Amino acid sequence: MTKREFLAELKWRTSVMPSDDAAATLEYYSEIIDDRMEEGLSEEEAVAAVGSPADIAAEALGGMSLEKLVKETDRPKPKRTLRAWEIVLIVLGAPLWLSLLLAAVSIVIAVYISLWACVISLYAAEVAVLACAFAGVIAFPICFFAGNISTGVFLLGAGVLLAGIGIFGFYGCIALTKAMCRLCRVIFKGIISIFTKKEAVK
Amino acid sequence: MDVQIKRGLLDILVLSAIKNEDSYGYKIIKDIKPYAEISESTLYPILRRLEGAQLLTVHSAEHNGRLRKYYHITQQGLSRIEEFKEEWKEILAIYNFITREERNND
Repeated sequence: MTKREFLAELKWRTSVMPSDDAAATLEYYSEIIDDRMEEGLSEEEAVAAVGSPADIAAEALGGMSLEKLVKETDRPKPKRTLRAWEIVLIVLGAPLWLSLLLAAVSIVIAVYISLWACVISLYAAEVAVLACAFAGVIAFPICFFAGNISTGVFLLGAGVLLAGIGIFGFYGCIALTKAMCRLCRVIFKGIISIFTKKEAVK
Repeated sequence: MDVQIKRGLLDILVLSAIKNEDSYGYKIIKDIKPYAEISESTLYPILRRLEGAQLLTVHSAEHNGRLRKYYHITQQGLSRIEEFKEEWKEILAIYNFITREERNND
């Protein structure tokens, strides 16, 4: 193997390392080969004496912590700068993509509003039930004093019943609100993930 | 020899090879050859570890038209050698104790 072949093979075998460590390794072995050639060995002999790139890379990688290797592969991608023609195209196409974007945003907002409208109407019903319950309970003494005892008792009973329904309904409203919050969060994350595609880990 | 002991000895051997003057990879191997035969691939991780532990520093200098890496011992590296010498005084004392009976019988 020639020195160039050796270094090339060592280079790709150490490519998973952080670039600084890989470069240091290559420099070190390149120097060793040069030193041996200075001593009188031929290039082939010097390369052979140093060992195989596979063994060297395995040894070098083995001494490296997993944390260090993982950090290297998660390097952030360099940002692409927009070229001139791309900017022009974006501006010219604005009437199209901008209106589409606005439509999409409006749909999302509409969905959110309708979801929360359901929740609000349930709360409204809850308030109505509680109000009637209250009215029923108040009506009892009024009817009592007006002489309408049976009506008063009926209204009291209805009021108490509605109060019971209202209390149960309250817990239902809370549960529904929580579920609605979770649903909204899921939808939101789903929308965000459309735009931020994460690179799949190979 | 016990592997662990050997590894510790190699570190000290490399440090003492650069104690009096800066040296480079190939020369270090030749200098410690009488005491430990190591290959370049064994030396490299040792050098990296010593550098990581700040017992030596690396710099490049020109030699015959190419760049060569020279290794320079740090103050901490020198202290490490002194520590080693102290540790081995103790080991030597123990060795003398272990062999005292044999010596008395001679």
